[in-house]
Amino acid sequence: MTLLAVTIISFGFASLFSQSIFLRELLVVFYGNELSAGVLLSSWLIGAALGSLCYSVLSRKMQTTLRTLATGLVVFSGFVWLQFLLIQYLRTFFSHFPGEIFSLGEIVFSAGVILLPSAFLTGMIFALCVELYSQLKKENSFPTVYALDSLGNMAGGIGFAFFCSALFNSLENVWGISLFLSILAIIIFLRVTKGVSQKMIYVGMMVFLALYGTVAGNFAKISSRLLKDKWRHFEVIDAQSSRYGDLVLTRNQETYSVYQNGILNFSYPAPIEVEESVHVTFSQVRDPKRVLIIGGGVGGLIAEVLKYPVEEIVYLELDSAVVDLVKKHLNPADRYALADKKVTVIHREARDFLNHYHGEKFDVILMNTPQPVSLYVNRFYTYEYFLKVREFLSEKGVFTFTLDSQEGYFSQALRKVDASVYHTLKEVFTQVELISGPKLRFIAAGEYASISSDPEMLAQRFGSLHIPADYISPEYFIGRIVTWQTDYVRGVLAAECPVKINHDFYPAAYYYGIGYFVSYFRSVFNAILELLAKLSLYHYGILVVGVLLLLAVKRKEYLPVAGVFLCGFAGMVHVIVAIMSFQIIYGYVFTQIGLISAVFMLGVSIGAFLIKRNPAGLTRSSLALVSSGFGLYCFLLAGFIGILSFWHPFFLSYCFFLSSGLAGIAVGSFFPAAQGSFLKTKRPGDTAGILYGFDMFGGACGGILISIVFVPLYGIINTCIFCGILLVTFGILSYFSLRW
Amino acid sequence: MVKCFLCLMALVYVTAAVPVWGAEASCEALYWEKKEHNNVQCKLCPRQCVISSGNRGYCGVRVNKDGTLYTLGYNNPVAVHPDPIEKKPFFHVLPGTCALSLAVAGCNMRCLFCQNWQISQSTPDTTNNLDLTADEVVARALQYKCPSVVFTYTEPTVFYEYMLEIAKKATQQGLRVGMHSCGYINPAPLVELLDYMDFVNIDLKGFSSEFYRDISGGTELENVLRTLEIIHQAGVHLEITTLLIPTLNDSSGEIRALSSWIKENLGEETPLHFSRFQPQYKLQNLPATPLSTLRNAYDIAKEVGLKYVYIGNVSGINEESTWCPVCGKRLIHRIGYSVIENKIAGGRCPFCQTKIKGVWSP
Repeated sequence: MTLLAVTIISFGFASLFSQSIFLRELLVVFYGNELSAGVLLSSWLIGAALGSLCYSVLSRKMQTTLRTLATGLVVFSGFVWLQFLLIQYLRTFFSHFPGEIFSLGEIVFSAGVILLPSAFLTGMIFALCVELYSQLKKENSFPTVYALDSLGNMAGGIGFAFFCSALFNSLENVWGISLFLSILAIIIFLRVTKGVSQKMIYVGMMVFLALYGTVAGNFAKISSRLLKDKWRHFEVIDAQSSRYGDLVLTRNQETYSVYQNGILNFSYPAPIEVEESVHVTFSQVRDPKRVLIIGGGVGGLIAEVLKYPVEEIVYLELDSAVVDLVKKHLNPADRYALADKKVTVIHREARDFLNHYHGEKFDVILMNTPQPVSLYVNRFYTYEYFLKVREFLSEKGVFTFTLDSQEGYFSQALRKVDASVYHTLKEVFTQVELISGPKLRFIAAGEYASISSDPEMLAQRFGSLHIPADYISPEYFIGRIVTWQTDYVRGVLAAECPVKINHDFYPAAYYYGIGYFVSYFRSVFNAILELLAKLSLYHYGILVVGVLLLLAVKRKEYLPVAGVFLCGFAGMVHVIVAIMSFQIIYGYVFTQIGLISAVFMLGVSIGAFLIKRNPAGLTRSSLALVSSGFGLYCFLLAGFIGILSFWHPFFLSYCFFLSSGLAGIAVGSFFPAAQGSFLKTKRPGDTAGILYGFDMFGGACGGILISIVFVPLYGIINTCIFCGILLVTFGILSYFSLRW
Repeated sequence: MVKCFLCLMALVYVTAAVPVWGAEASCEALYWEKKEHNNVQCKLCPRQCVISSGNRGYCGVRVNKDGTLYTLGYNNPVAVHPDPIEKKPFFHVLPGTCALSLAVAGCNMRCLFCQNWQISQSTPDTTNNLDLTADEVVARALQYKCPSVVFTYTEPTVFYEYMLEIAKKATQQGLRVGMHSCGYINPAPLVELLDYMDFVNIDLKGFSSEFYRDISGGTELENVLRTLEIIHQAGVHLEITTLLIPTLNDSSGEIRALSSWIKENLGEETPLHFSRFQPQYKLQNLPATPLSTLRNAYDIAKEVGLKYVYIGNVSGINEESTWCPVCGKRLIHRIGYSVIENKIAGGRCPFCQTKIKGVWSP
């Protein structure tokens, strides 16, 4: 019994740990936004769902023994290696060129091929564990297994995010988790075999350990080879793992490029871009003293700013590993600039920094963040964020950033992104100027500033400053800034059009950003996004409630299955909404974000244990109670976030942990409660297989729909309310269907 | 629910997949042949697509409507702007003037690095277009006081009929006409077009068959080289642009071969622009071309013997100005798309009277 319990926890740990490795590795290969992350996560969940459903179908033909479980662990361990190697050579397989992005079809295909097998096995092993545990305990042990698995999941998530991702590279992590699983399997085999078979296992174990030892002895060589193959065509100078992701530094001629999680972050030296960025900005403000640089300052930008008589430069770079990596390959001038006594490098994220900042206001805030194609980045282009920036901008100070642009023609997709940000900026700042170019520069300021896009004026201002520059001169302004082109872009963005203002809890620009990303490909996804934009929450509500009503009237016995699906969906809603809201309000604080997920998993475990203590009372009324309770919790969450949007003292941040724990308890108790009222005649493993499968399907739907459709189109608060209504409706229906 | 979902997906798919052209495909295309079973073969570009009834060619612009080839790219430009002519880029054509620049959505290549992918990789029925006849285009050029009309941004070949009609009418009105093309066009339509062209800029995207085949959507280098030779033989002013992409077409050997071929086949006076790649479209994870790579290419081309070599997409450097190949003095000082100073007089260097190749008078 103890061995089985330990195995369940260990497998929970290993499955989430390996899932984390592969999601991270795949995001390096793919374009790492919510769309690809959603596809990957959903593939995993669907795989697990299919696995557990498959078990419920095949269970009577399968041997339910510890030996089967051990075999499953060995196969899973093998899959871990296979998946890892497949990911390393994915780019080669598709014959992609260096820097070429994957199409959505390729992402879906790869995610399916790579993640489905091990996810499938995870689902099967879970259902098998329920069956084994129930046989040993001679009672339905589904809640216990669910709780133990959740505990393992929590440990796996924490272990990877907080320790192993930063301490070891992916190869070492794969090696470790695979070894761990294999040893677990060997222990089980040794326990269940005797005589000759046991001796065979000992021999096999020796060979196996020798193999792992050989790999461990050649970590450096193998890692280097894999890195070289993965980054073929590039000259890789350095690679490093931090808890924020994988960093790779490449070189082409004299240009170094920093890739963060596979995405080109910035290149340096880029003297022309740096000079333009700094001098166009500094020509907008008289006598700037205090400068805030948000990201991208390490490759020469700070040295250029130091040409001005500034008193202080605060440079924000979340990941200290980026600075460490680049520092080693900087030219002396830029290295000295970083060490200048006027420069303070702070490893905090901008929103977190501004929330805690009490110093003097800034004369220049220079932001270097990517396009808002992810929810994480979108937070730097919202109305609420701009208000924060305005609060810390001096009376005559300027705030500037760039977005993608097209000088000749703005496609609808790109226009929506830029127009949404432009109109949002105009809501907050009295003056907004645009400077057209390969990148569109936005310059925003209050009423007392004197910003301009007039090339003559900027040339005159820059000339009067007598700042030495290699490429930028007063003539440069006249030659480079084409007034009518800027007017054209302003005309396009300012035109009457139905673009929404980008809010923290209503991230419209992010949805437009996803549309822009999808427009790279000639695919059916464009039409799907257009269609989804036309739907409202009522459409989804009518569809779900209709299906529930149909089940309640025609197939009562399947109502709990629908409930589990909704619960999986709502659980995912909670995790995404809680993490997103925390990031929006309190900034991206890695440890706390990780803790929110961990507390949720702990809650799941506690919820399952609580229900386990009273299995006899598991009826549809308890299911109705849990469901309605979870629904009411969703309303509370919506209210809580509503309050936080205008009043968010720091102590309220702890409420996120509390709410995650509560949501976890609801999910944890819902699942076994549903099992208690569903198909009592079936074997525990069969029932677990079906319910676990639908829980995973619900999670998969939630993962895609919430982050890509619901939150950006309907807002976070409405999404929570919608979820609450569905759960309460389910609660009421399940309660009354019991009486019928 | 599953059925509902499947129906929804089917509806979405059908909506997206069914070709929609309707009234827009009203202009019959030039250069095509009728084949059996209502099929047609397009003869405009070297792809020579055989198109069955109800379908489109590779470009997505030419459609077979009941056995007749029509074009969707007619009277419906997606962009019409007066642009600095330097932006095309034409550095030896009417410096400092604006050119009425026109594009219809579509292209017969699929370059991963396309700078105008938002319109070139679309089709005219999916973009927001203007409704503008050839006469109106010419009237607009005159209204904006543009001495030239240039077909650019996308691939002009795919709206050949519209381009040809505008070119004829613009020439009648005394305007100069030019185009920036990938050069993927068959000889016969090209020759007919060149009668109305004053200047042409062709993208020579690389100098290896592999590059054209793999990066530009299965095209052939030989066809582009043939286009260059025909333009040169027709006596139309020709400039060439090569976008240098890190690791893909920036080797010294390839640049030397490309420059040598230009010198031998098109003449040493052919202006050559080495343009800087910026992370774009499907190659957005590739860094921008280092300045040293561009300067290396510039030096090689000069060393080979080309007289007019430029570096593009980089502002504030000497290599974007025109220098006299004999006395070495700066003739046209450019920054970005702007001409700061133009000393060329009567098509000659004012210092040593060397004739400078180009189109210098409207």
